[in-house]
Amino acid sequence: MEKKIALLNINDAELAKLPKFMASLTFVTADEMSAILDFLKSKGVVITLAHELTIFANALEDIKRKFSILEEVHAIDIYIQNPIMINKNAIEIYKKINYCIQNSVPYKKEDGTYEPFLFSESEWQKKFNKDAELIASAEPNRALGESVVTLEPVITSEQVVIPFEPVSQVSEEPRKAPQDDRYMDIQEFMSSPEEIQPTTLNFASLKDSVSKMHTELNGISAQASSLASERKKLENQYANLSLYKDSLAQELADDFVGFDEIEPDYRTRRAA
Amino acid sequence: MKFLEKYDFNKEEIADFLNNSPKKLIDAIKTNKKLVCENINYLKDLGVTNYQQIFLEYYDMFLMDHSNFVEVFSKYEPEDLIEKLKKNVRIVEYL
Repeated sequence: MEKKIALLNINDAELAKLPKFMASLTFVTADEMSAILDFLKSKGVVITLAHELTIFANALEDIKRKFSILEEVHAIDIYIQNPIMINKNAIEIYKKINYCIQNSVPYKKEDGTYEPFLFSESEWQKKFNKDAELIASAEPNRALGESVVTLEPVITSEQVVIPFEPVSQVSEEPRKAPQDDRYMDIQEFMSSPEEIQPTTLNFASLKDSVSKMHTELNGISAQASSLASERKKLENQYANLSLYKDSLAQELADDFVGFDEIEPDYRTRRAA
Repeated sequence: MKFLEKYDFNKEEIADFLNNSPKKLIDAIKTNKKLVCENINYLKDLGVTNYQQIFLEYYDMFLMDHSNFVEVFSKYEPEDLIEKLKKNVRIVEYL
């Protein structure tokens, strides 16, 4: 373990925090750790904080793959700015950046840092709630290596930095850990099959609703048949009126037979 | 990771955690579920209201031996610690 710690280039303050974050170092040998550090250094990524040790729980090949994915969208500075992002799912970040590019959504702030919604599904959902399904359309189906046009985003929001405040220490002896064995209950709960709540239906109200719907349907049916008979009557009236019109036209035609021949001069005079 | 639901982690948080954490660490958490539960319970019983957030940010810490884990937090005045953690979860690194 000393050898692994010696590989790290972190200051004394960060070294003091190491015991809390040692778990990740158990997943990697000193040689593997050295290879990861060399690769990160070649990409401009430096591990300086104790809690960033979790990245050593990733295999070198996985780390390389993640870099190549984000290089596609010219975003490996995500890892340079915050190496812990190596733990995040690079494909998801890629998809979100691609979506932002396609939809002209700014994803980089004025100070060069990236919007938190790229790294958190809940933040993403908050921002793009209505268009959540569109993320699928931004999914890459191109081969790695094709160039992607990166937009110059304009961001107005500012990063909020909460200052650290010292926590007052207890003067007396440290308290003992509570003797709590609730996790046993949890284990038992986990192993027991989940109870299925019986479904309860209110049949009386259901019956009432069905009967009301029946009544309404009957009413509508009666209205429809009266409207149909009304239509029939109107059609008959229309037919009668058509006959009447034809007979009037015939009468008029009969009345004016020979009119043109009898009084042509009279009509000419009237017009003059 | 269903056991996290018993600690009021919602399904989205668990899915996000699984999707964005190294597989080796996830496997270690699953294997050492008992220890992780013990450490979560400690924070919960201490009155730390945002213990879920602490876990999601510093999950590797929960693989610490329970007595060492307790030692990290018990050095401080509980009420003050709870309040400070509520304001900024990142003080965990400096404890």
